[in-house]
Amino acid sequence: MFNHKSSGVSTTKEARFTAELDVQAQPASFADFGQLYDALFPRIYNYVSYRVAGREEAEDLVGTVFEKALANFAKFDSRKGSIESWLFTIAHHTVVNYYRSHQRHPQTQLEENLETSEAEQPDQTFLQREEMARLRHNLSKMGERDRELIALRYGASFSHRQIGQVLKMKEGSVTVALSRAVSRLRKLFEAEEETK
Amino acid sequence: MSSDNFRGWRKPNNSQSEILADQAFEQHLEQLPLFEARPQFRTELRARLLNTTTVQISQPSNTSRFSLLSRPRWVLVGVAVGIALVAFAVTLFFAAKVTEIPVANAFDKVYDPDSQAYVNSNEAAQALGFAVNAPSYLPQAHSDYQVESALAPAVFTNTDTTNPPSDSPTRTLQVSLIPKNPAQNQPQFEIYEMRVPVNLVATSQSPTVLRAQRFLPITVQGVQGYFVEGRFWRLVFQAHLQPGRAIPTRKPGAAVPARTPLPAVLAPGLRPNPFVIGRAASPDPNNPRVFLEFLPSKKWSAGAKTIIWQKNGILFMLVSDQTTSDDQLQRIADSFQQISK
Repeated sequence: MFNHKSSGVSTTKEARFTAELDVQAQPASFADFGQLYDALFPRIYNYVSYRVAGREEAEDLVGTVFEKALANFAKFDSRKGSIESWLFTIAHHTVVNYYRSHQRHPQTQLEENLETSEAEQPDQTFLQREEMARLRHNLSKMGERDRELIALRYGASFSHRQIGQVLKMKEGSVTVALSRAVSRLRKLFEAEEETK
Repeated sequence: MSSDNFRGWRKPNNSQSEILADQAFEQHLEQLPLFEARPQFRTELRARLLNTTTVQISQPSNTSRFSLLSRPRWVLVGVAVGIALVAFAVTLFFAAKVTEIPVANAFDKVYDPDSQAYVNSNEAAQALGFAVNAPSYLPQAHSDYQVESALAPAVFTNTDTTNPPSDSPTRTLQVSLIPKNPAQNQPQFEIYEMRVPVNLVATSQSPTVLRAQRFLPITVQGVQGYFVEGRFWRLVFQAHLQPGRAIPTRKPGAAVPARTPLPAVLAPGLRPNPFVIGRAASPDPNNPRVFLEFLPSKKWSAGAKTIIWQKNGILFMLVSDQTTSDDQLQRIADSFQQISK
């Protein structure tokens, strides 16, 4: 249930996720919330980062996701689905609710001021940061559904079937919609290149 | 990760080439690096979450909890049906009157999870360190509601090594007003009473409101209060430390503010509370900045209305779903009285 599945594409990113998950016990044996946190934090953080504009927002929302998960951890029922689908469903709803609220009430900068600004992580190269900035920039131009699909596929490394579970879509519909979203994102990258 | 590494997804302009370009771009997306969290954030969030684990996870499992509750609930339902019939007749008779409901009587049965026993309101007041309050008014439509209440655990375990221990209240009283005959779309109420170590400051700059759909400063019981509506909001208050009290100091460089989730209570009818109170960054320990956060839960998924006020050092939070009018909620808040039964 906790095995990491994808659409057959093995990548460095996926291998890193899988390596973290392989050392974990099955969800039924999670003795405490810490194991769940350790196993899925990188993917949750990456997924949320695909969905929001900045690190502060991402940290805030990731904290909220795990707070909600902790509050409901005892209620998780493995018969209804995998724990990772359960957690990403919480993450999905958290982001959706955030944007609904955000659109009605633009945020102040207060939260950013509350947090201490940290230096960038030393292992991130300039080109990587630039590429990720481009990704975020272009994702911000996309529609909500497209961003969600891309975040779940490439941020969370979910399979099409798992995406369907979170978004309540059929697997075939996910495949079609995701393909179109990727194509649109590619064209945004291309358009950006052409304006340089 | 230079753009030269993934030229394959660029053009030319025909359908087959488009497909190939998309496939190449998919490969590019697969190979993008992760957005990586700051290690400090990850570590401190973990520490903060696991501080609450002893409270949250040590509760009985969902299944066992409901099996334990099912019997008294069925008894209550049976009793409620009878009472509801009587109440219905009375309601018809006094339809035009506003009812003052003696809900305070129900505080005879405050559940104490520490002793796993019911205590009366005097004992509850001793445990809380302040007199218990209850609304003396509920709208006529809610006349069949009963009060279920519980004290939060006495000790909030704080093993956080990144922030000093919280000066959490000795106890929090959590109250739910629950229809005796549960049905969909019936109004839901929850009340929280909490002794806090600070006096909240009301100015044009305090509180700062984040994410609320609606926010109105109001007067409640003659003191400054606030009406907040929304699913997920945060109020950040300026505050003065009460004499002899302490509040957690944020460790220099800590990525996560010190937070104190109000201890969760799992007693009949009560659910883990949606509030988190904590201290945000502030350079002055005597005038800390305090945040009160409302997190969405299933119960309040459609949004909630909350009235917040502080009186005699006690922080009150009255929460209702959207079916209660603003005026009714204000009237309920204004009707709070100390009980000493």
